[in-house]
Amino acid sequence: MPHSASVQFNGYLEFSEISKSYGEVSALQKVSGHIPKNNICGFIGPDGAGKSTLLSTFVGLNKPDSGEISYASSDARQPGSIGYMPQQFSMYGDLTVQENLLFFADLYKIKGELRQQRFEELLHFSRLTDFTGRLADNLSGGMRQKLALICVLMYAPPLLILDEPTTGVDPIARSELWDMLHQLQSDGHTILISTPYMEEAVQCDQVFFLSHGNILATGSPDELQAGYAYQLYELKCENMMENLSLLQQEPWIHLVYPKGDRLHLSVAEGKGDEAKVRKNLERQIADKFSLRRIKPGMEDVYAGLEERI
Amino acid sequence: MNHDYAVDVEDLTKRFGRFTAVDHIDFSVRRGEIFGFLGANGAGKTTTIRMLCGILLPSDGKGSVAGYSIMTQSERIKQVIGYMSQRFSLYSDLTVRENMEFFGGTYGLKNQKLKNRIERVTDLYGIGDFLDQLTGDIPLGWKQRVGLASATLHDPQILFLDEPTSGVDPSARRQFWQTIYQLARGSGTTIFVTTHYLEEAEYCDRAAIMHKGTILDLDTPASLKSRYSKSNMEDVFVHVIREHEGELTV
Ligand SMILES: Nc1ncnc2c1ncn2[C@@H]1O[C@H](COP(=O)(O)OP(=O)(O)OP(=O)(O)O)[C@@H](O)[C@H]1O
Ligand SMILES: [Mg+2]
Repeated sequence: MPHSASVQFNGYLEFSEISKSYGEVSALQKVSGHIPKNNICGFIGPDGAGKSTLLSTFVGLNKPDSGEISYASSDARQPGSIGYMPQQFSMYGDLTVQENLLFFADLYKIKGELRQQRFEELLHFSRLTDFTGRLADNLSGGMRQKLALICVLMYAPPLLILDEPTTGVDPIARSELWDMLHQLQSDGHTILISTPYMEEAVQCDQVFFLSHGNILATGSPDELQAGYAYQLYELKCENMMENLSLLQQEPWIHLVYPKGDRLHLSVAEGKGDEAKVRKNLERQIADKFSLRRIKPGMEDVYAGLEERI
Repeated sequence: MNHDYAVDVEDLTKRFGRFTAVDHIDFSVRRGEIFGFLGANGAGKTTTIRMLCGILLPSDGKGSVAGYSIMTQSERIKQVIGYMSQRFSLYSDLTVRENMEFFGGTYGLKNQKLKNRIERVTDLYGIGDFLDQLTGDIPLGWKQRVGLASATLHDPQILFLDEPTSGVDPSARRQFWQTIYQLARGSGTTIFVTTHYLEEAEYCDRAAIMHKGTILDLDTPASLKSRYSKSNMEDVFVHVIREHEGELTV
């Protein structure tokens, strides 16, 4: 997409030892990191991990109790240089799709031909062209989510901070949305994004896995995959859910969980090889099954890092 | 209308002004079935659920839920179903317990009976630690459990869940599905559920794929995958919708 020709955010973002508490709840505990220019950085973790708190801190909407954030470019503090889509985006429910979009264009003084061009492109991208006259309140959940995103893209600032833009968005639209993010990246934008879809982490240059206000791990998707500390197996069997409950009791299994129509099963290194795992399973499962060793996906990597259960 | 069905609709239609959100759909759901309702954004899933729950009056067609007509018996329907809406219906400025008391009240539960039911779902869903916290302050994964607890206080025959796992992390989603599975298989509750996590469609007995107001296909996950020669439900979904839009290049 031929977005703004002059992208001004040409530095990086650095945050060090950021802490934030809400009353007795500690949302962030001394988290630090470095975000290079023109990267797509993913913030991933369960609810309550601190993703939203951290992202809103970058925008300056949330003052940390301690710690520092620095932008290499002073422009980043200029109004309009950061685009932020909060998790609970409040649109004007009593304005139409068109009125909402043009409101943002006016706010950031996007005028003339650029304004019309973006308006049309973004509506097309979000498949909302036929619904410009509809009140935001009368959109479906996913349509409203897409409108929230394109309101921010209407002024296409150099640094985009998007808190769960893909939640509630259907799979086709989700993959189109990632195409658009990669396009924005090649136009020079830097994108910070949080998502509950673990597989989306592979679309990022750098991933921050968060848990309970801490950064569990950070790196490129490849690096994180390489750091996976277990043997992972895929198990296909009849009566999957019943067998799942059975296997969850087994001490030799580190984790077992469903993934689509199969189970993923992780075993600590040193707890035997495929033959041993197969033998153990034969003792547990009455049904016929097939087993194979697989490489971990991002969801497996995260599950392996997570302390909970 | 066949009363062995938990849900049975014919030609069900909803128009908003000149726009048709749900366009003459037919389907039925067996009692005790886990029924997945998949579809693109704006397909009409929430609108359909709202008609089935007796919240929205259809423009055309007919339907029954638990044997009651959705046109004339919506009050009866509300007593035997549980509904968790896409935008959580919990009050964030009430505690978890107060929310459950409120919901129980709307189902006509009171006094000792209400107390007992609250205790039971509290144990079942493991939400005891949160009972006296403000609902707005607890993590989403837990909120969703409270939602489920509130929607099942009155032992509904049919549970309508509109994107119950949206935004919820994988481990909480898995636990949620294990609970759903037990509800269906253990207590025979019919589950009518929408999701955009297509791997969750694998846990359904049958799934419908909806697009622009119509149902494009409806079958078991296994037959859908085999009929379209796809290895997972997400590929089936993308294929069916693209084919319908005439965007398929092969
Ligand atoms: N009150 C209303 N007035 C006008 N149009 C409406 C109204 N309610 C819903 N619609 C429209 O009906 C269509 C279907 O919406 P619905 O919420 O049922 O979709 P959905 O399948 O649940 O989508 P999502 O996956 O995004 O939740 C959308 O185009 C929506 O804008
Ligand atoms: Mg919906």
